[in-house]
Amino acid sequence: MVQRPRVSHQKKIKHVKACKISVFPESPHDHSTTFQPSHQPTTNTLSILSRLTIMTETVIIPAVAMSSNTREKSRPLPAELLYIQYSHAHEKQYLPSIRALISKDLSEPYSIYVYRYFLYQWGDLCLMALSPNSSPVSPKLIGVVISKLEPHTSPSHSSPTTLRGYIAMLAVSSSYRNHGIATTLVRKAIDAMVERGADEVVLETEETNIPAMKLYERLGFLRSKKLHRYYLNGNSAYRLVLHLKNVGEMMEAKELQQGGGML
Amino acid sequence: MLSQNHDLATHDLAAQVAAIDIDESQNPSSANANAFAAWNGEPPPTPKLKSNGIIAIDITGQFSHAAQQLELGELIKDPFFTLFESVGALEIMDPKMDSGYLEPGETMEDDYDFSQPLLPEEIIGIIDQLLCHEVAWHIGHPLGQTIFTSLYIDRILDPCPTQINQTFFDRSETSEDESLNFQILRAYCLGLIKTCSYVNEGVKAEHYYEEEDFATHTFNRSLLENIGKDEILQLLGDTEEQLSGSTEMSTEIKDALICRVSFRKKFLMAVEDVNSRDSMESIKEHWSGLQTLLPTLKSSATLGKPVPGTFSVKIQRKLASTVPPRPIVEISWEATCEHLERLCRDGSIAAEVLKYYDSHSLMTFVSLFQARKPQPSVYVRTLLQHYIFADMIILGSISIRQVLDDDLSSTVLPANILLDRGNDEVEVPTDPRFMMAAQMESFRSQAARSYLDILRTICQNRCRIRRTLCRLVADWEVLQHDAEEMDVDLRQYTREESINDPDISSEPIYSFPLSSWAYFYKLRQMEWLVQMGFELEIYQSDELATMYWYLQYIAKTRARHLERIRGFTFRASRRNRVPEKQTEVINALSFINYSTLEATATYGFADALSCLFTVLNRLSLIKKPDLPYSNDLQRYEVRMKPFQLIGLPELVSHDELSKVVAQPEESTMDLLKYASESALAAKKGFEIISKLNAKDAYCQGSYDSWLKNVKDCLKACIFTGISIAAVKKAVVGMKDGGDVGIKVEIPEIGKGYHEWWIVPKVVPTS
Repeated sequence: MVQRPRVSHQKKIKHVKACKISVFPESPHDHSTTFQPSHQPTTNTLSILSRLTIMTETVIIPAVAMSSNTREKSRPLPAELLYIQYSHAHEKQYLPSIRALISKDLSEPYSIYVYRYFLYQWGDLCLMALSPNSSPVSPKLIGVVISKLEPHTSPSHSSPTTLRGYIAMLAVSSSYRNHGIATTLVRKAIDAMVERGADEVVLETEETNIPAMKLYERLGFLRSKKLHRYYLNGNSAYRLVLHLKNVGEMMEAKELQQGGGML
Repeated sequence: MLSQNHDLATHDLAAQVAAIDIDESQNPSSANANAFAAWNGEPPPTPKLKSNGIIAIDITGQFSHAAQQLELGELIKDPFFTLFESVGALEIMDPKMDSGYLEPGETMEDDYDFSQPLLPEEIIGIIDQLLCHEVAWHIGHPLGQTIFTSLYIDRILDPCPTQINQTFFDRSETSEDESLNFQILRAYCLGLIKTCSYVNEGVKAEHYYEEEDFATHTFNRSLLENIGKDEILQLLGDTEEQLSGSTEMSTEIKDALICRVSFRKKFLMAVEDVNSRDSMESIKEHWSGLQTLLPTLKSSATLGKPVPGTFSVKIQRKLASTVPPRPIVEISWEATCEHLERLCRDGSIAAEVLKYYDSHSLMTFVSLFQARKPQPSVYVRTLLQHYIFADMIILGSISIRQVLDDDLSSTVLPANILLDRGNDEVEVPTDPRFMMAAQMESFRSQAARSYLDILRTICQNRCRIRRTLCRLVADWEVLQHDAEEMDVDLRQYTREESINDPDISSEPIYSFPLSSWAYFYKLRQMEWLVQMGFELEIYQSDELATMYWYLQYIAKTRARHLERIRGFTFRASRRNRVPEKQTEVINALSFINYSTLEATATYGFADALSCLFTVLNRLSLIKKPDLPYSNDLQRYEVRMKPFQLIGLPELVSHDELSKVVAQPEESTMDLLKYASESALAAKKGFEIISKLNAKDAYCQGSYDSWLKNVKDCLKACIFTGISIAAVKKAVVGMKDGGDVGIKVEIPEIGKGYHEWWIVPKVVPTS
């Protein structure tokens, strides 16, 4: 029998282009009787996040306030959702559900390596939304955002090297959509990037994914270019960009760093 | 490397591996055992590690040992191992990623009996399915998920045949005992593969984006390179004849099969012959001949009987591929026929480019052809590129220099000594004409690339056009700068007399023809860049006031620049009274007039829309996001990035731009009044333009598309007037502090009159 390669070895990245974003944000005029997840002020996020992390470790579960008659249409939210920064210790408990949630909408799944690539290196920029009322011991994962933050130099060197955040994946479980969970996740990820001195944040989103595009545009993202047939399904994408600093400030910071390096 | 592998190079290593503490109970797992079913229970052999000068050491043991030290999920990676590489990682034993993974009981390959007879209806079914796959490939899907999923195609291509008599499906057959049904299918498949081969080579020869536009990858299979086209055409022809004489099937079925064989024959002939630039008529005949078969082909599909079992997703496992098997691409018969009709139509129109009128008409032709909706397919777009650029001879008959000189002469240098071919004959280096020829040659060598880049760029997909324009404008900025130096240098040879007009400048004024020309094209591209942004829905609605302001700013700059060029051309015409030279001057003035008219209508319309959107922003009918993380300046910097490198026209600063767009000192009513005046002026402009003939509008060869385009602009302009009036009425009727009583809808792209003109629709709320 002829031996054939079982697995493709040669990388062909252009094909498996970056990551699909799947997101369904809240509707702006949602005044339903269900509980809204608390929008934390952006300024003290880090402390909130660390508190939340401690909360899960010590398993302090907030009381569940939910009457049975609100269980009609979309699932009502628990009184308090937990937003938790990922850390390596979460791998065993949450990585399988993170993969399951994200790959649900993907024709071709990412290998576990892609997840670990992000989660292991930038766990603090990856956030999970957990529903504590599902199980007191292991709150259920209902949403996740996965990102990274790295220096970026444009191939043509036409613009300065920036510290660029990249939102790679975003997903919220379908029965929990339209409650602002995705927006909260993205905001927390951006807050964490700001905290680490990010200059800008970029991402790609499928042209047909209007809710995702609206979510990001409400946060100030602009479409910078359209990418023809970017995804495997033949759909095009938009690159969305958010500058967190003025170009002048980015340059100054760069010069300071370089100056420091010379001393 | 798998630890099951006992066939190690030395006993030593085997002993070392045995010493490693691996939990044997987990290995081999049942899943692993399944996976190796395909290898008859034997694991794959160790690769032979032999190479001159290289001593191979099996590190399986050390590697396994080291891996044991890692915690689950711990990552060790080289700093150069990027996301790019990580996305390419695959997981063994995941059916969606591992091409060798087999479900219990699944076999590696399909077990298909190629000797089983097929009904004529089934032949039709298979042929039609193949046609759908062919179109899916034309649309951009890889061969592996389309045509190559056919077991019959696979049978022909693997092993690679060197002669046509090696292509029988049933290997025991010869041409004598092959059934007619099989012969039809085989002839069709051979014709199909050969057609694909021509298309693939055609696309590869021109500029396109692999996988984004088209997948040329043949997975290491030869598309019948060893078998000549004529042999296949012969077989198709013979088959057609035998079919006509056949009495074994109903006339209906027979006609349907003849139609398919004949379609394939014509398609195969077309894909080679349309590459020849000798005769536009012959190309058009090929496409129209093919087109006449389409109605019969389309309607007779109902006679076919699909045989889904003759297509298999598994064949991808046999292909030299870097990706795991993906689902077979399904395209409907309707979509397939529609695509083919468009292919014939677009292919035929593309050939019309071969008739050269003038350089401006050529550019008009290409840009209008590419703006057709839906955009012509990649194959047709590469054909168009072939017609224009092949062998560096434009349209097969004109030198690049000729096109460039035509363009220079009809914009900035009519009847000018710089373009005098006689200069080339001068051999005395001290002669100014010698120097002019040398300098102009140096300019052409730089400008030709940038000029042809514009044409080449317009041939790409719409998204790429815009992205590439961002780079091109920067190139033209450089060209303009370099041309300026050449202009100064050339003056010593041309002895150009300056204009001295203290009203304009205290310095003497010169024409700067070459840099003027570069500036003109740079401005055109900047306009296109902004306009493509509208078409591709790059801008959010709260940005529209700003972007239309920017468009009018660039268009107005172009109009003023043309005014300057006109002045110099006019002066030159009075000096030059030679009758044959006069035609050149008149032609240049005519082009300048046309371009000015077009720029004027554009800036009038853009100005009207900008004012209208400013009013809508003021009335909060268009909402602006909160911007929790950024401010207007940062958004401005993202948006204006393509223009950051442009020196002229100067980038309008953020403060200045916000002020000129918002016009805080103007009342809303004044803004609306100004908007309606601008829209009216633009409307008049478009009306005048629409009455021009093809020659005066520089759209020879594409007059009909050009006229439709102008009329669409006109309609959009009229509609803008209506929207302005509706807003005006609402504002007049608005009570102090009350609601304006209207809302606006921004039509989706493709739903308005013109994709470059986004006109808001005003709807009363009560």
